[in-house]
Amino acid sequence: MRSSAESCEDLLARLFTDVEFCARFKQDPQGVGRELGLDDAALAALEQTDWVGLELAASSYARKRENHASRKRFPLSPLTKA
Amino acid sequence: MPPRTAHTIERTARNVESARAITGIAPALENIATLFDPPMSTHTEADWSRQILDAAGAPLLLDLHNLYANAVNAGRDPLADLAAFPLERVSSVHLSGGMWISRDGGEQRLLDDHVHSPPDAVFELLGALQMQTSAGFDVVLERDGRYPSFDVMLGELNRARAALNTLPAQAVVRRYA
Repeated sequence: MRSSAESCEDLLARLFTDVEFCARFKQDPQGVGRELGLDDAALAALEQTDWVGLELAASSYARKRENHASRKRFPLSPLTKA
Repeated sequence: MPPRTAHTIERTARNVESARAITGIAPALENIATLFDPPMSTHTEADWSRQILDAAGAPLLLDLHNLYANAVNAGRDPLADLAAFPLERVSSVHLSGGMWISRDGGEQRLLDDHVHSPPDAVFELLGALQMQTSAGFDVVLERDGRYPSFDVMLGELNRARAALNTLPAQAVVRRYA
């Protein structure tokens, strides 16, 4: 069973990367937090979440992932060599 | 950006130890930029950083624009944040810039992007750092794109030199040509 600390880290990672999960969580942070096994202290801390900053951060990370995926490779790199 | 907890301190220190086992030396650890304070944190950014650096025995690469952005995004005083960091561990400093962003014209946050010039506050923080530590450190001006003229960049280097000359210099601005 995962510790509450590990559950907190998993939750933040999903909020950064999963738009649908983020929307569901925003609707019911306490319910979703309990489903994930967060303890009372973590659930209380969620009330202080800066949603503006979190959503801007998630958008920024998504752009970085897109840029990384579309970055050109060197012609003879192992990833592109036939 | 994980929550700032005892758990992430311990895991980060363990990762640094893995790196040290391979390279023979602990890497300098940089304070990163965030658009918000991670929820469920039990430590301030400065205390969390101090505990990681102590546990890992690693030097600090202090990015002053990251520190500035994190402070203004969370509504804190950047100078107070600077004073709370373990400045005796600073081995190098990054200076960079960023831009204000928002969604649909709403609340703004400062994004560290390396394609804008450092704001005045970053040079003021460099001067404040120089006055608060006896540690010797290198200073790097970070720029990843949208380069201004070379004269503008030399002007930024001169501003860094001027900030370091607020007291007899321990630090040196090196040229990376």
